[in-house]
Amino acid sequence: MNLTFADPTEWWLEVRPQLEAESWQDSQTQASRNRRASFYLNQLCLEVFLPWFQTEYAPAAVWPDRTALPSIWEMVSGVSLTMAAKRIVLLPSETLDSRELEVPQEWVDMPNWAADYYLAIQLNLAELWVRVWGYTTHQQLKKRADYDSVDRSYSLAAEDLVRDLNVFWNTCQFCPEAATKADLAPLPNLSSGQAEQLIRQLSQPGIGFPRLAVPFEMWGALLAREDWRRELYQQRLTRLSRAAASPAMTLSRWFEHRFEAGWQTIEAFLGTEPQALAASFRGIAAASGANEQRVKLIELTTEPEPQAVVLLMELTAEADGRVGVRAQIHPPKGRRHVPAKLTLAIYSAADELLQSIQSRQQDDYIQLPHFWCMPGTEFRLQVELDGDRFSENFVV
Amino acid sequence: MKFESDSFGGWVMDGELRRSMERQQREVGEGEGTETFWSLYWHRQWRKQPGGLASRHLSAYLQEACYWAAQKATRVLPQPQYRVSDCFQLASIELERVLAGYDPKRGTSLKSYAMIAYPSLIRDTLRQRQEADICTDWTLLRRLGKKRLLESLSHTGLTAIEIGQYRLAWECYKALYGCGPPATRKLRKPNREKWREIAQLYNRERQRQLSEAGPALTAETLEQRLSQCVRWVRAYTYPPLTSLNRPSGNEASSEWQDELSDPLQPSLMAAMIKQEEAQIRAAQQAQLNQVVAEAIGELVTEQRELLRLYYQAELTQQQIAQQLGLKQYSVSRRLARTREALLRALVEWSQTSLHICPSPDLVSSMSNALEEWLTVHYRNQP
Repeated sequence: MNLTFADPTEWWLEVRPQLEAESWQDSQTQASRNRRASFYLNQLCLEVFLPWFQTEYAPAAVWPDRTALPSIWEMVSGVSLTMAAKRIVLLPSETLDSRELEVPQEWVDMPNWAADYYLAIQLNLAELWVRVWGYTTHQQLKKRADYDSVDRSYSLAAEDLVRDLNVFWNTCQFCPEAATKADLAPLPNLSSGQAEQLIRQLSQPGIGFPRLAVPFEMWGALLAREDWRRELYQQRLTRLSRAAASPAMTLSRWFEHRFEAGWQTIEAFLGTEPQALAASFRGIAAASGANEQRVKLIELTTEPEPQAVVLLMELTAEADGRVGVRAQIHPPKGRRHVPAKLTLAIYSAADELLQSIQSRQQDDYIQLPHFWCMPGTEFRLQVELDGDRFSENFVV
Repeated sequence: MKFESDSFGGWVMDGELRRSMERQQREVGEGEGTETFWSLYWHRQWRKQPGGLASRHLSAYLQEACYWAAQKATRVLPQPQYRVSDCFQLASIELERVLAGYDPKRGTSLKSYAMIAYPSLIRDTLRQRQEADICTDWTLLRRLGKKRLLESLSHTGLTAIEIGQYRLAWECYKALYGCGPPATRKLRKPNREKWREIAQLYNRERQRQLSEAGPALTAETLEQRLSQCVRWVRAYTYPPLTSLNRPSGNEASSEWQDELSDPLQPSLMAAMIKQEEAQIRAAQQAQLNQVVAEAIGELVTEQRELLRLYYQAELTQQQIAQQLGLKQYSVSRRLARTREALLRALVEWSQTSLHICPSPDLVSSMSNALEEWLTVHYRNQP
């Protein structure tokens, strides 16, 4: 918390740490990978701003409603609120400098999304504050903002914003009739066939930034319809998560001697390694009577210097058709011990934590409890050390 | 202005500016032209042709406003990280932004406007520098404004096509990296796997987004490019502060003028009334002083105390919180609401007594005027 520079013409709000953790959780399950950061920022901004605004100023509500938010944030950043007859868009940003307000084109040029007021909001998550530092109107955006065709956004310099939130509230009260909106051209009508086609196209995993992938008029027309937007959101979420899981190692292929790059036999990996270490690997192998074993070198970006560890996977084909899986972490070549406080964890397909283990000082290796499962079972292993993590998906 | 042991040392004459002023003075006639006249004249010149001579005249004219702002900013800083001369230098860089923000139609004098604009610009700059100083490269990259990035890139002399490529790499980085769980605030360098992922996204998107797709990037080249970006941005945006360039004056400096310590002329009414209605204005000015004074009188003791601590004792909100034993956010909220209530009283008064229908512009200029009034009023209090 640092209000050294706080000014009474701005609104400075506090972020409760708990709120932060909740928003983070939601972002992990309700947004696709590229959009998590944005989801997180928007939700945090909303949860800090709205309750405070309602207590201090006036009743306000999320537009169109809360259930629509994940599908909006998957496409574009910004939170729309209604306050009496006015619409307000909150535009959260994490940037250090407040030299400009950037507004995604959707909030300006889609007739049913365009609002009366746009609030510039800066978040500092290290110090846990939210700062509302200026505002503008739709009219001003259309008149004075620069349009950037690369990321389809309007940006208005800080000098052209009203840098005084005392004015915002007094204006809302004393000038409810003041003109705030500029005229907009309507967006084209899409047939449901066109919409379906667009949704199919835009939910391809290869499309990293769907809002920039088709001409704005079509994109806007698609987004403006609630049901189409929700459909696109669902499609992207399922397809993208499937795509993310697709490079998963299919472990049962190992029995056919098909291995993905990076997975070596212990012998190939050790080469001319000192006897003692090689023995530690072999001892485990012999004891289990394993059918297949492979190791992979994992690099972790830790401070002050990166560290490597070895992930060992061992599979056994059981008579009943199940597969036994053992996962271990060993020190890299030339080291005797696994780095202390390294965590090895296993997550289910639904991303629930199933088991985890952490290394102590001077562990030779660590392992998860041996488990058996049916072919087709999915899981994810995660190795974490000092804030950096590596994870890999597997299908048995 | 020259500095001696980090505070005001005296004025230095700039020969060229002096000759320029003498030339202009001859044209308007001896004895003509007040301070206001010249400040408006040069501001008009500056509008026609930013930079150049007009900028230098105005820069010299506003040095004093800039100095006071710098002095105040240095006083409130928690650690004596920047000296007055550093802040002065930071503020001087913002001259063009002050000039751009000044609107003579609002009735405030340029100097009064600058007295209000400089502190807020210094605040913005200091806050950013403080944060940027403690940011890791990877956090800075994530929290960098688009404008900053593009300015830094074009300042380095990259072509538009190269800028597009760097920018896309940056967008891909931001999409995939840096939104860690709450516990991991200080971003470290992404690991090899993460770089590969970012490179993959870049390589797919370059075909779609770039006018000239350019070569595919490997994880390594992508990392190099982004590291390079951070270096350019730091060098461009947060250059190390060097010692001030003293003006090359060739004439003796004059004495520090006492009256300069209270340069503000209250111009509250000017926001509402045109220049030529000077007589009515004087009457209304007095009336208006009364309105604000009454509004302050109606505040509860605690609110009055807050105003006094902020505007008169010039404490930061943090210091006020300590002194009153309140939470910082609570001070911030109450202060904002108090100021807002004063503004409200002003708008209501203009509505009932002057029969002016408030417009957003009017509310806005009243708020500027209120800020001036508060600054002057409290500074003149014993």
